[in-house]
Amino acid sequence: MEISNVFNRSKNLFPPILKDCSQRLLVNPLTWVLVVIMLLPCFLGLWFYYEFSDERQFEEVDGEKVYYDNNGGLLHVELREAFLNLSSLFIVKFIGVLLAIMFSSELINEEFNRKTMQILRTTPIMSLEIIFYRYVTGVLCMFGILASSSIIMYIVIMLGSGIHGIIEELEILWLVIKIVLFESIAFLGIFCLISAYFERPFLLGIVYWIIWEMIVSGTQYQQITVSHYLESILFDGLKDIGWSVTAEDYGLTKIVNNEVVNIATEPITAMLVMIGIGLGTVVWGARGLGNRQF
Amino acid sequence: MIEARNVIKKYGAVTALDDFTVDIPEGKIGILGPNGAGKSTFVKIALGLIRTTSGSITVLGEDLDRNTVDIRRKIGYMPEHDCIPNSMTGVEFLIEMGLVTGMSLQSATQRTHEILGHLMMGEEKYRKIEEYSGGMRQKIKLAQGLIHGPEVIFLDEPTSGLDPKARQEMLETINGLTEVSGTNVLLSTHILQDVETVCDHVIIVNNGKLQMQENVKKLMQRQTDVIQVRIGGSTEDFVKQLKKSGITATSGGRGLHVPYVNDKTFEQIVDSAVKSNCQLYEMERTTVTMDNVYLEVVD
Amino acid sequence: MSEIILNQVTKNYGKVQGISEISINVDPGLTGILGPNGAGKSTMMKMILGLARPSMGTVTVMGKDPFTDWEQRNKIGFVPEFDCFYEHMSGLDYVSYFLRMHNYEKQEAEEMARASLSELGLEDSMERKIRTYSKGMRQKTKVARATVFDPEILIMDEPFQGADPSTRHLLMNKMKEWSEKGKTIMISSHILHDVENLTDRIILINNGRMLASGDRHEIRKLMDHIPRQIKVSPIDKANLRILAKRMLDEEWVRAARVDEEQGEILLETDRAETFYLELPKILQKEKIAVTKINSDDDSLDSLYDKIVGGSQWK
Repeated sequence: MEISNVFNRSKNLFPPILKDCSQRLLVNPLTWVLVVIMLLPCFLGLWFYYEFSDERQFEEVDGEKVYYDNNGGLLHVELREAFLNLSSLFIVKFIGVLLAIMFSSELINEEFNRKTMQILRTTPIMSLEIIFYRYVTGVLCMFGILASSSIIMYIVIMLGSGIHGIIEELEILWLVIKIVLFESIAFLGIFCLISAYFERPFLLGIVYWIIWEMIVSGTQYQQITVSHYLESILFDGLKDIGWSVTAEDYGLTKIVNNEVVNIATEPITAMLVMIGIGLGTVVWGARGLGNRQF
Repeated sequence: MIEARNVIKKYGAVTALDDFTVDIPEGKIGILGPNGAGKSTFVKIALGLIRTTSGSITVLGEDLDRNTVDIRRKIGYMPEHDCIPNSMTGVEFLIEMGLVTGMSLQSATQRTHEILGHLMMGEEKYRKIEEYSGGMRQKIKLAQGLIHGPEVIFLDEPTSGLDPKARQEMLETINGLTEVSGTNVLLSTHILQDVETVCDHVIIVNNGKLQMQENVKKLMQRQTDVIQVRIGGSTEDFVKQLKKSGITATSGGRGLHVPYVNDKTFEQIVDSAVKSNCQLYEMERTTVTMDNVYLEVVD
Repeated sequence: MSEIILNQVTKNYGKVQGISEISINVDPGLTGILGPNGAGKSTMMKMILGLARPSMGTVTVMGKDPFTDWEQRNKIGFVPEFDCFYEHMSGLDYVSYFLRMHNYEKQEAEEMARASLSELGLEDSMERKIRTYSKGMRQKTKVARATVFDPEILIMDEPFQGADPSTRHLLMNKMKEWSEKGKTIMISSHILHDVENLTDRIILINNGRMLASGDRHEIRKLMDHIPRQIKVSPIDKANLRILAKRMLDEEWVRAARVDEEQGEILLETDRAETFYLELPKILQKEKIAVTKINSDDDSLDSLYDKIVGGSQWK
C-alpha cells in the first residue's frame, strides 16, 4: 500500500526534481571548471599529436592505415595505455571524486542553506523521496559528464593511431565508462549521506576522501574502501580484454603469513557492493534528514 | 527644504520619475508609496547620488547640479540594509565615520559620545557590533547618519525587522534626537503608523508622480461616519435595543459599527446600553487612519 | 477539539533555550503570536510544523504528532520568516514545483499556481525570475505557495515583513477570508497595529515562556489590579466639571482629571467592569451627552507593553 503510493507519486515528484536539479548542476560554473581540468591533459596531447603526427610509420591493411612507432610496435597499443592511465588518474580518482562532493553538496546542502529544505520537510513526502530523486539526478548528471569526458578523451588520445586504432581499442573505453558509472553510484551516495548530516560537506568530503580512499586503500583492510571495488572491476575487465595484468599492479593484494594473497573481488560482487553502498547511504541519509531538527 | 521642479528621471525605457514637482517644507516628512513607485529614485536624486534626466532640484536652498559636495555635508543617510562592520565596536565605527567626513579626531570622539548619549546606549557602545541586537544596530546606523551634524537626515525603513519595543524606542529616539538638534527628517517606510507617530507632513508617491501632500495632524482629524462600539454582555440584546431606535449596527472586525447620523446617535447608543444592561467599553467616532488615506490614494 | 495542542512543551537547542513549558490550545480562526525577537515564536511554529521535536512535552496537530506524521503535511501551510526560494525559478515555477511535491499533475499544478498567484496580485510578474522580485512580491509568493493546496492550518511567521501597505492590506483581507472559512491561522508580527486589526485572540510569549493567551480584552480584565484610564468627552464642554465631580462620588473611581483643551475627562478606575456598566446609567440619569468613551489601555500596544514589559508583576 505504502510502497504503491510512493510508486504512484514518483511520476509527479521525479520529473520536476530531475529538471530543476540537473539544471542547477549543469549551469554551475564549478562543474565546468572541473570538466576543463579533466580534459586539459588530453588537449595538451592533441597539440603533441599535431607536432609529431608526421613522424609515424604506417602500413595500409584493407584500406585502413595502421600506425607503428619507431620500434615497430603497434601505436594504438601504446596509446591505450596512456588513455587508461590518464583516465583513471584524472577522471576516476581525482575529478570524479571532486565532482561527487560538489554535486552532493549542491543537491542537499545548498537546499539547507537556501532553507528550501524546510519547505520540503513540510510537504507530504518522505525524506527518502526528497533525497532519493536528487541522488538519482546527481548520478545521471555525474555519469553523463564523466562518460562523455571519457569518450572525448579517448578519441583525442587514440587519434594518434588513426581511425583503425580508435576502433580497435573500443573495449577499453567501455570498461572506463562502466567504472565511472559505478563510481558515480557509490561516491555520490556516500557524499549525499555526509551532506545530509553535516554542515560542511565539502571539507568533510575531502577529509573522507584523503583518509579513507587514499590511505586505507591499498592496505590490508582495503575491502572497506570504494577504491578497492573500482580497481577490482578494472583489473578483471582488463584481464577479460586480454591484457597481461596482475593483481599486484593494482594493489589488490595483501600479505598473509608472509605470502602475497590476491584479494581482488569478483566483478559482479563488486558491482553489487557498489549499488549496495549507493542505496544504503541514501537510505541512511534520508533517516538523518527525517530526524533533522530545524 | 527640498524643492523639485518638473523632475524627470528615466532608466532606459523605464520612467522612474515623471514630471515630478514637490515643495517639501522643513520638519519631519514621511515619504510613502509602493515599491517601484519612484520613492527611492527621488531620494537618490535628493542625496545627489544620481542626476536627473531633466528638471531642477534644490536642497536646502542649493542647486544640486552645481554643488553636490557641499550639499553632502548637510545631508545624512541611514540606509535600510546592513552596512556596518561587525568587527568594530560602536564607538570605533562612529569615530571612523566622523574622520571620513573630515572631522578632527578630537571632535569626532566628542561628537560620537554626545550622539550615543542621546541614543541611550550605555556600556554597549564599547562592545563589538556583532554582539548588538537588531535595535542597537539600527541605532548605530542612525548615529552614523547624524555624526557630521547634517541639516537633513534621510531614514530608509528605520524600523524594519524590529520587535514592538525596539520599534517604539527607535521612533522615540528619532523624535528626540531631531528635536534636540533641529534636524529635518525624511522618513521612508512601509509601516504607516510610524509616519503617524513621527512625521508632521506626509507625501505619497506613485507611478513617478506626487499623489498627495498633507499635514499629518490635519489628516488624522478627519472623521468618518462610523461609530466604533464595543459591548460587554449580550451583544444581541444591545443590537435589538438599537434597532428599536431605528439604528442598524453592523459587526466590523472587532466590535460593532454604528452609522453616525448626528450627535443624537451617541445618546441612543448609551440608552441602548443601559436598557440591555451591557457594559459600554468603547464608543468613538472613528477617524481616518493612514491606512485608509494611503489605500485611497494608491489603489 | 482544538486543531493544535501543545502540552507542557519545552525545547532546547543544545544549551540554548527555545521555549519552556508552553501549553496552549489553538482553535480555528486567527491567532496572533506576539513577543520580542528571540522570544521563541519561530521555535513554537517549527514544533507545530514538525520541523523540530520537543525536548519535553507533546505537540498534537489534528490529533497526530507532526514530527513523525508526514502524511498530514498536505493540510499544513507554512510561510517562513526567511527567504526560501530557488532564485533561478519564476514565481510560477516555484509554486508549481512544490505543488508537484504535493502529488499534483503537471497541468493541474500549473493552473492552480497561476490562479493562486493571480489572486494575490502577481499576474503580471509570475513569469519573471524570483531573483528580480521585491520584498513584497516575495512575501506574496511565499503566501501563494503555502495556501495554494488549500491547507486547514496556516502558520505564518512575520508575513508582513518588508511588504508595502497595499500588499499588507491585501494579505490581511485574504487572511480574514480564510479564517472565516474555518481555517486555523497562526500569525506572528511585530506590527501590533496589524494584529489588532486582524484578531483579538493572541498568545504572548517572552524568554520562551508563555505570558498570556486568549482574547486580549479578557486578558486585560484579568489585570484589573492595574488601574485603567478611561477617556470620556461630553458634547457640551460646560458638563466637563459636572461630570468629573459626579463620577468622583462613585467609590470605584479613583481619580478624575479634566483636560479642557482636548475637551475630555480622564477617569481612573480599578474596577473596570463596574465602571463600564454603570457609566451609561449615570450619563442617562444626569442627561449628559458624550461623544466618546474609550481607553488607551485597551489597545494591544498598551497590553503588550504591560505584559512583556513585566508590569503585571509589579
